[in-house]
Amino acid sequence: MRRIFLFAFPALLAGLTLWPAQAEDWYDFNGNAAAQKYSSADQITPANVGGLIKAWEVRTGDVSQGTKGEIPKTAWQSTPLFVNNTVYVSTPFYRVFAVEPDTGKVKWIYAAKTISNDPNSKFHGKNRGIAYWAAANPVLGQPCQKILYLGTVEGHLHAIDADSGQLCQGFGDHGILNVDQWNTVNHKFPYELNQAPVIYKDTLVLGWAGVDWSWQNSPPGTVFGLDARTGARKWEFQTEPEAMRARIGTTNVWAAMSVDLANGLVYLPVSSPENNYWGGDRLQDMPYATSVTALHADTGEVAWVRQLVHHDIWDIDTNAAPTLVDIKKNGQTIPALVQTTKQGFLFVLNRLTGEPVYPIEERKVPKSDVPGEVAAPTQPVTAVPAPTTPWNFPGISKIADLASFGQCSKDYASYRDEGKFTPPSLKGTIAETPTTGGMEWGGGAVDPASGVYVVNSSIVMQVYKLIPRGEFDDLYRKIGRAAGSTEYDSPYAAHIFSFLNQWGMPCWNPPYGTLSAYDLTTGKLLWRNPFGQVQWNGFYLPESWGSVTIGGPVITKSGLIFIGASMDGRVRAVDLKSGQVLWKQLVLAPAVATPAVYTYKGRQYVVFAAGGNGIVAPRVSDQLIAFALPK
Amino acid sequence: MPMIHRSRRASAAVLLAGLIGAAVAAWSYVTPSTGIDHSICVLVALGACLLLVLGALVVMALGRGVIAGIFIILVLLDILGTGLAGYMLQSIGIMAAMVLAAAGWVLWLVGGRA
Repeated sequence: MRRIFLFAFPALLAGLTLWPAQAEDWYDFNGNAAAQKYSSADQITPANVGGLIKAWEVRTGDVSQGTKGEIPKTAWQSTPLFVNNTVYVSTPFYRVFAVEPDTGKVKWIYAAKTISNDPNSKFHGKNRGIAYWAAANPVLGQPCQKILYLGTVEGHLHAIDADSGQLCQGFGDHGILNVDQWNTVNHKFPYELNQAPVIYKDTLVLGWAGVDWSWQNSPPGTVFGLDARTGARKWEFQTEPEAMRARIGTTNVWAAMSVDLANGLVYLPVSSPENNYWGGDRLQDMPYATSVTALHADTGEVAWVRQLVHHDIWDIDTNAAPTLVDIKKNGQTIPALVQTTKQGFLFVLNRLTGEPVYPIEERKVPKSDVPGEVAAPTQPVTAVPAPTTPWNFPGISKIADLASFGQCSKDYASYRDEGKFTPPSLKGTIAETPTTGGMEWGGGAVDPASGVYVVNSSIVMQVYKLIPRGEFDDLYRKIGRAAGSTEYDSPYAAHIFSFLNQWGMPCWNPPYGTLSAYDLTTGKLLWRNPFGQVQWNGFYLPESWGSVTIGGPVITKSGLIFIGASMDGRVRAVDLKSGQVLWKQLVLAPAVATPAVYTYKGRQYVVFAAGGNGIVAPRVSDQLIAFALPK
Repeated sequence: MPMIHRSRRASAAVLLAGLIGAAVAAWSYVTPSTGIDHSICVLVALGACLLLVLGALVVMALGRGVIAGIFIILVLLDILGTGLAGYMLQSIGIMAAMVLAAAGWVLWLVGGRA
């Protein structure tokens, strides 16, 4: 099988091409280890995509609307895998479904026992997929030569035989590794293993998520290198300086990572530290915070690091696996990566050195006016490729302002706004670099042959208002979690909210979301269009306004982009050349998971987990749906 | 106000359109695959369709007169508003019902007799 071949002859493959075409498989959350989200399948083309029909559908039953007595609303962000002639998908109830790729018939279901299924539990996770490993030299007749890894909200990693759906007894404790045993500093919450590990040879590289926005001294970030067969810890990487670990939490890697199989490097999108919005207690240098960091996958040693936000006080975690691609430029081939960000910049770096392919400028940014805070004087900025979000506030929406009898204008005048990187303030700051904006964890997709890169982005304006500890507690009593970031053990909490009027209408001018395509060989923007539609209490707002999006795109060799992601609960096929929508179909909830593309028995399928997450829209579902051309 | 002849056929068309629109809206409200289920705006459209039914019944009952004329104008506003709602809900069924209602309303104006 392809994966085994790939592991057995890495040097040969490196000499031929870095990532061989995986025409049939979609073996990783991001399609392949390089996070390219690319399929060389070409049966579905711009000419015939209009004829797509539903090939099969599975309703997993694993959904909660979050009504009283139930667990909170589910968030299903799991990209299915297609490998081992099976579609595998994990659910927000931490079950794994193995599905026949052409019929949707369920082969087996693995159900993890987890605290998150108990409505009385304090911890309820979301699920962003599973990982797949195959032994390079499989022993015939032995189980667990192909393993699926499923993380749970209490920090357990389950190793499941990909053929039978049974636990692999040689992994951890009879198939379950308690990763939370290593959560020994400020154990405010268990490690949430929402995102599956990435795999380099026989090493799993695993990060964790947690209860963000809650405690300044929460668990500090750690990334683990684990033995794929046994779960034994091979190495660990600390993202914070030793002296800060007891005081400052997170700086973790909660998103997917990518792996350069030929060069043995794993790339970590590292998040921001706690307190997310006031950094007076962490003024020391934290080089890995809000960075992309390259580690040697065998040892966990740092190859290079590039910080993308200095002294991050906006919670703009580096949040997506960088896309690895070779760029052909001026007769040279540059081993590059593209790192998307919440601040709207696409950083294109040499993935072996971390040096920029396109210039990065250190630009002066506004100072903080909050006691104890010292904002970084400059921030890294790149103009090429063109940022996906504006530097300045896009203007007050006349419609929203009129509907609110001028409240939008009045509120705006009361806030601090000096463009991107205006620090949070006591009177409230308009955040052009908001935690919910820019490019989210779906990241982008690339056609490695042409170097065309595609990414969706949201344009969201939030208000960041720091509140002294004592005052915040009153607000929290009144409005609960909507108050924002509690940041206990810190002098300041933060009230974080989107800049809306009383009817829930955005106070800023559209578009609210776009889809962009770039030529990475030149860095030029090829096209940018509003993408998706906002749905407001049932009404679809104009297409020219676009939609906030979560979840990424995929590209196929035939020149198509497939993407869900938008608020309107539709999945779409877009022409890679022109950006025009060629096909769209309503599904039961926003498909916030990146889709998967595969070919089986000569037929190409595009499969979406249309689960929603309660963030882009209230609707959630349990629908796994595959589309194909008629037979 | 110009002389307006109201036909039973015209009133029946508006009444039927209101009933169809209400049925489509009610179905849309409870059916997840419509994409507009359990939304406030589809409930508003449902209410507007029921008001259309009421308006048609009033016009049928009154026949002629100032109050009937006022109701005819209100029915027009209802048709336009519900049609716009159907467009924004991307509900072909509601829009089609409002086309039928508009046809009935035009029949009122041209004055076909029963």
